[in-house]
Amino acid sequence: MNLRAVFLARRAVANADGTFDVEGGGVTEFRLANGLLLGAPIRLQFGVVLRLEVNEDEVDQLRPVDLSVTFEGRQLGPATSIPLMARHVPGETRYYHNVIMNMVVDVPGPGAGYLRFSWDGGLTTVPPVHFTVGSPPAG
Amino acid sequence: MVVASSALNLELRTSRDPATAARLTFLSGIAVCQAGRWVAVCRELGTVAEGGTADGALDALEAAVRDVIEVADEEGLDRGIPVPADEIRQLLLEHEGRAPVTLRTIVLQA
Repeated sequence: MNLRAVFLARRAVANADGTFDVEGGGVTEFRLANGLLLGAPIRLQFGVVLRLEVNEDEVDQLRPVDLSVTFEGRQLGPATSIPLMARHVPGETRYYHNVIMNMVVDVPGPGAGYLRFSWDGGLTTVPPVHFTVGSPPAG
Repeated sequence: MVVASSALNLELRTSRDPATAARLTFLSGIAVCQAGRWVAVCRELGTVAEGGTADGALDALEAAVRDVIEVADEEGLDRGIPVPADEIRQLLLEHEGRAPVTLRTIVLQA
């Protein structure tokens, strides 16, 4: 499989016809509108779009993609395995996967995080997707 | 060109209190459309539910998983067995239509 696109969005929605809609694509910084509640985690909600091209020899095979989220050097929750499989269609040579993710992630405070995708049991990785959580504006 | 879609609703909850964080269990549900109905399967326990929509099937699965765990823990039984990879592959092969295969994290707090 080959990576064709990966990006964050404020919101990404998978439609029933196989297409998807994106709002605020390319966002990388989340800034809190209000103050921090002492001791409480910050709940982030955002979308992620991952588009992969599947090689012809990978069609009809289960190709799981692993996702992990780290924040300030600590992994949040367990790694997630996303099972993908492209079905063979006679005469077709190009196969794609659109993976549309809606993430609800609790982080302990302002800082920097990464989403890391890999497949082939970790042998193939893509550059990590970086995001930051900023402090609320002063005053 | 063939485009397959997957929708993933992923929840990663945490807590600053390590004891609370340690009590969180993360399971995953996968919903596919078969003969006009949506079937959802918990990959870690093998629990199955169905519904008229992907979200409906996953809601039913979440409720079923909670029931299964409650009864299994009360009775001292196994909660279930993980679904083998070839059965997940078969499930994806049987998915019909252009609506995305839908995955959801199920977060349980002991």
